[in-house]
Amino acid sequence: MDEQVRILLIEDDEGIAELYRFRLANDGYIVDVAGDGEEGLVRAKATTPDLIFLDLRLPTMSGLDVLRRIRADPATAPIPVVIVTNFDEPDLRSQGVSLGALEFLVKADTVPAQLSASAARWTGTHSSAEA
Amino acid sequence: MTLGGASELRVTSTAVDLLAVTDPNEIRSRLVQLGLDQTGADRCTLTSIDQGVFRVEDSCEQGGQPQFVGREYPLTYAADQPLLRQAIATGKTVTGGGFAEQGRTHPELGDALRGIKHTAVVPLKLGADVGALLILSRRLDHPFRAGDLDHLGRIGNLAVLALRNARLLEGVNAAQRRGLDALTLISEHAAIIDCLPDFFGRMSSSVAGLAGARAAAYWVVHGDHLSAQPDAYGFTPLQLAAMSIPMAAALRGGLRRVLYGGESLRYERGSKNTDFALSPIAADTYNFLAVPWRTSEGPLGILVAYDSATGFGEQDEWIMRLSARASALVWQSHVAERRVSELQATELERLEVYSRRMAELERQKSNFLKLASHELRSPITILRGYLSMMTDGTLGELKPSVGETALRMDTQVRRIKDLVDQMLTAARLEDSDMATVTSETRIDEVARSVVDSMSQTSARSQQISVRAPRPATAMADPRHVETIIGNLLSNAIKYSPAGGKVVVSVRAQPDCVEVDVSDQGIGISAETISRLFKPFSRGDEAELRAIDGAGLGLYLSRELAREQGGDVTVRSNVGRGSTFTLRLPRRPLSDASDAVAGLPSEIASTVPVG
Repeated sequence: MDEQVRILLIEDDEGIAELYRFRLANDGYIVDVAGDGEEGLVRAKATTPDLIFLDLRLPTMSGLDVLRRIRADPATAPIPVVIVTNFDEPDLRSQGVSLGALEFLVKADTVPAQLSASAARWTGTHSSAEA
Repeated sequence: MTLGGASELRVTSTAVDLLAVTDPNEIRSRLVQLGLDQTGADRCTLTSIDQGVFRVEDSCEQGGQPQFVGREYPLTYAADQPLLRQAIATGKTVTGGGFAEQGRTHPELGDALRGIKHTAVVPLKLGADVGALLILSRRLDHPFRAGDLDHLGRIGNLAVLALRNARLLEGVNAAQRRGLDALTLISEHAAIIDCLPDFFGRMSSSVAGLAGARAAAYWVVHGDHLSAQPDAYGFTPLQLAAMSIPMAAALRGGLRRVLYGGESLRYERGSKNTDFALSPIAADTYNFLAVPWRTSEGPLGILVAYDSATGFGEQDEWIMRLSARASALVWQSHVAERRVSELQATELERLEVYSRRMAELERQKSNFLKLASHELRSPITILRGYLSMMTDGTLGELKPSVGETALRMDTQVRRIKDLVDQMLTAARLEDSDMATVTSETRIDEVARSVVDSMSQTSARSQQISVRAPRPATAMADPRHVETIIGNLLSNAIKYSPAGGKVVVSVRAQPDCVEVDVSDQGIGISAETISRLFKPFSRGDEAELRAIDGAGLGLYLSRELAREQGGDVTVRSNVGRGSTFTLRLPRRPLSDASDAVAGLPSEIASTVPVG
């Protein structure tokens, strides 16, 4: 990769954050991890990542609210967002999609390679996993 | 002069005829007629003597018709007449000359008695007393014959007896009518009275009418007082407010015998025997009749009728007792009815509380299951993630034994994930917001999409194919159909040997759509089939038995299918494979559910493919 692609991971579960960070970093991405929605919004504005992986169940502010705020701020509105959650309720899925999430991944069904593939798809890169 | 046998016979047969008559008027008419025929008198008059009253009843003149007179005189009139006085005193027939010569006559009778030459007075006895007199008179100077008078007296005695019987019979008939009236009235009330205040108002007004009284009241034992019911008939509210006495006071008087002894009690204002304790019961009335008011369970109080113009007689008491009995029966049935409905209400309330608690517990359980399964998903995700990176080389080259171990661990982690997913589905099944919403659903399309996604993710080597030659539409919830077919398919894959065929076929039947999921696996024994669709309930030692791979999946599938008015059934040949069939109604639940649920699977599966 000529220019390093930056990914923001908004995820409160440290075990999962570390798993995904490891894999994405291993595949050559620069990974920022935010443990809650507030921090995620600050990071998103400060670093303008190429992609955000967003968890839905977060402390203090729900993932859907975070997504709304990202969309409401012109500085972060264009950033592609993929929802990664273990809450695969149908209405959450449709709400996420209507708020402009590109994809709705269920963590338990998504191994790190698939997450990396999603990152490659939405950032237009070719990760080592797909290569 | 002697009477022949024929004459005796005539007297007897006349008497028998007379006794057969039940109408008192008829008896009296016949008797005076007989007096003329028997003695050849110009006039025969029947008088009665009753409680100080001398009453001229009927009279008949030779050649005329018997006439009812009905005139009353004081008994002193009879006492002024020597013949009458003597006949009444001795009870024997007396004869004499003209009436006018015998003593003072009543001014009104002057003309009628003039010119009479012979008189006979025949006393008619009722028991030991003289109850009536037959007075015979003749203007011709020809004395009455003793024999004729004797015969007349004998027949007359019988006639008086017949009269009394007729009067008694009349009384009995009247009593029967009154009794029947009372029962009719009260039973009509029973049909329309549905609350207790109304009961006492209606009943007391009826009782007053039946007993010929101005007013009536139910006095009811309530706590330590005996009180008139507030809607008693014929009293003002002010009077009623004062109509209550302490039980202690009531029981000191004769009321004890009414309440507990079943006796009746009469009261007359000013009479010497007046029980002082009764004056509160009497209120402002001048007479009353009290009878017990009780059910089979015991005394309730007393029923009192007030102010009878003629005084309360035996028959009134009888009517009152009858009314009290009947109204107590009605009251008892109302109380019983109220108790039953109160009991029902209490029971209903308890059931509602219970069902609310159950619903709350159910909700908590389902919430817990949802929470638990979501929480479990995170560690599963992490385990799967690292295991996948071990096996896909991300973590570098592994020793073959470690690689194999990682694969085995991955299989087990998937098992945990499946179980957690099923738990979540089970919890959702009981959620109201996950209620089944059916719509026209292309079952063939759902089946294809499930097979597509399973084919991609399945690591196994089974050949999965779909046979859905025609569109098949059913009234179903597409989310549920997806879950069911997914479950059936994943079972079929699990139990198929490597390279085995799994076929999903969709058929539209006249009433339903059938989806068969067939495998070539080991098959299922009949004994296992019987417990296949039960969640975890496998007998008393459920925990000790191994949970087979199907786990909750089949139970959930069947529950979901039934929610939509369909079902899941299974046919299997041990060693050759199994076919699970999902049936879904083509019409909305209300009119199609019976048809589908009632259709045996064997019959359904032999219907030609549509």
